[in-house]
Amino acid sequence: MDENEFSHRIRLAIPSLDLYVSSRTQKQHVDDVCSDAIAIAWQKRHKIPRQAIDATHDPLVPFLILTARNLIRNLERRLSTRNRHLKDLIPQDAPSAEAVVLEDSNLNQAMQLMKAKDRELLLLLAWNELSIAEIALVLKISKATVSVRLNRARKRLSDILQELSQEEH
Amino acid sequence: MENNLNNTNDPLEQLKQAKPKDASVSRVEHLLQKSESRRTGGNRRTFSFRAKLAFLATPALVALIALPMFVANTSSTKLRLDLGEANGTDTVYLNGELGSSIADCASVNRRCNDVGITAGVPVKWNYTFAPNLSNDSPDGHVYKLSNFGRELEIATMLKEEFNIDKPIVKTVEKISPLETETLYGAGALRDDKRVHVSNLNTATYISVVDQSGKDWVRCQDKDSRRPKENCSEVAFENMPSETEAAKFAQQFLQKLGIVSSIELADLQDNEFLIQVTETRSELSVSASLVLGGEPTANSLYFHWFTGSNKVFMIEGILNQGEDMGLFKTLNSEQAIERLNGYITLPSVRKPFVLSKKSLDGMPWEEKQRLFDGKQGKGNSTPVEIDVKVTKAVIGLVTIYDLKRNAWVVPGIHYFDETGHLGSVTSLDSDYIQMDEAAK
Repeated sequence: MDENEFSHRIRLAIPSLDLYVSSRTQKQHVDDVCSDAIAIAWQKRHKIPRQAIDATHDPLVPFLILTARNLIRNLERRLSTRNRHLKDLIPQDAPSAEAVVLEDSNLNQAMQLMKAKDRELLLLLAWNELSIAEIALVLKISKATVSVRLNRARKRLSDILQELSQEEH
Repeated sequence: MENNLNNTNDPLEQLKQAKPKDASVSRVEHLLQKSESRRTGGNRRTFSFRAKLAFLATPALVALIALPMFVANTSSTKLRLDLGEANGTDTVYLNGELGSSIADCASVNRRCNDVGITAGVPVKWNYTFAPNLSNDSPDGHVYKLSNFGRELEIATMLKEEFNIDKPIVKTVEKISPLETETLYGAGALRDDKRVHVSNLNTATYISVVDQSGKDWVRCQDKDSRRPKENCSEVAFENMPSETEAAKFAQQFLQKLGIVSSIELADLQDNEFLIQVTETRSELSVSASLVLGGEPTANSLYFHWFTGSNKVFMIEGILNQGEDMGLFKTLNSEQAIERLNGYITLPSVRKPFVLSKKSLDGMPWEEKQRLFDGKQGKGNSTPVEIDVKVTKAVIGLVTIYDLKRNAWVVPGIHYFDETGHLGSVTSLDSDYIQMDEAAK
């Protein structure tokens, strides 16, 4: 694959990667995870399908997100191990919010109240604009399961927003 | 919030509306550079697209300990460059035409030996020359670079041009033991409009950002490039034509009293060459300082994005060079071994394609093959690479001394049939003192 072409594809895909990683992990880890995912994509570029001329989505985007997802899980495992060993030194109530904070406080709060899996699913669709098939690829589940979980997640978010709105009054 | 809920029942739609802005161009570049450093060996430092950082960290680029004692009269010229390795803790940033990797190699004043999986493995290139290779060695001029000056005046002009409603604040910061930055800034980093103009030892750094030049970009679907439904109020404007963009840059420079042209032949030392590049979504103009009849690599850039005729960003370097006189040089065969000892930075803005025999241009798989099994054997077992030089082009290269001075000196750019191998200074060995450790 032409390196210039791949470099161009990477540039276009980075905003989506950055957004996903920012919504999944703490700010101090975002750059490291993103840059590792990009480096891995470069190494494996010959295995990543080319973008069809008439396609609106580049398969590089779900590849990067899937890679970042794996990196984040590894990172979380490392951190949890470290935290176990250093539990007396690290404050247990240290903030764990992701790097992205929504301006809409109710929406922000509602998203924090969602299960992590549902939150991730909704953001992959709404922010990363992945198709059902691409989400299935990233989450390693079937398309049917994605659809079912998506409907449930939507409903849960809607319910939580409703509750928060009622609490305000 | 209440309105939101009433108007949009679908929470997914609310989430879409709340999607944060896409990563900025500079953030994309930052991540690319950071990934590049990981791709080419974990011990590399992060590079930055921003020319400011290039010069903030230029001191770290110092690998060439120069004790330049120039005398204007060339017949009695004295020049001595003490070449040695840079401090290992220094960080290198460079906004070079050939990418940051070469800058990184140049910073340690020798060939990279830590590329990719090859950490700790030295490399020895065995050069042979193609027949009929040009072997000229005309004496060359040496230029000392300095900043442009008038930073407050420039900041004030830009603040008015861009209607920036913030006062100019002066800050002075010592960025290294030998370098102080004086910055005139209006607007904070997160503001939609901001201007920063810095005085550094060897350059004046300029950065103006007007986010409204990206309104249309923000309103587009990133894949289809069609406007998003909720962005219909943003009017599409044609980007300026290449001629209009070049003219804009020329007028901008004219206000600073700088002569510029799109024709290199029209320009003398310390005038600026205007070049236009257009991509799918962006139009850029570069204004490059001309020295010795060549455009140098450090430039001021003007950027427009699709859908807007407003300039989105002006960023880069303004500097000037003082001609220190003519100096004796080596020919290409005499200077070639310097590629094994150290390389310098091409100072010329040319779209060199990297040779597949250079570590930066070598395919990843080839690197792995070459260095397979070499890890852990230490520096005594270099990897040898045979290279046939097919072209040697006389030009200019940039070097930095430990006093944080920057010099543009005679050099040679070497090529094989696949591209650029590297560049070295061609200054005669009489002027150069090699540190044993760097050989």
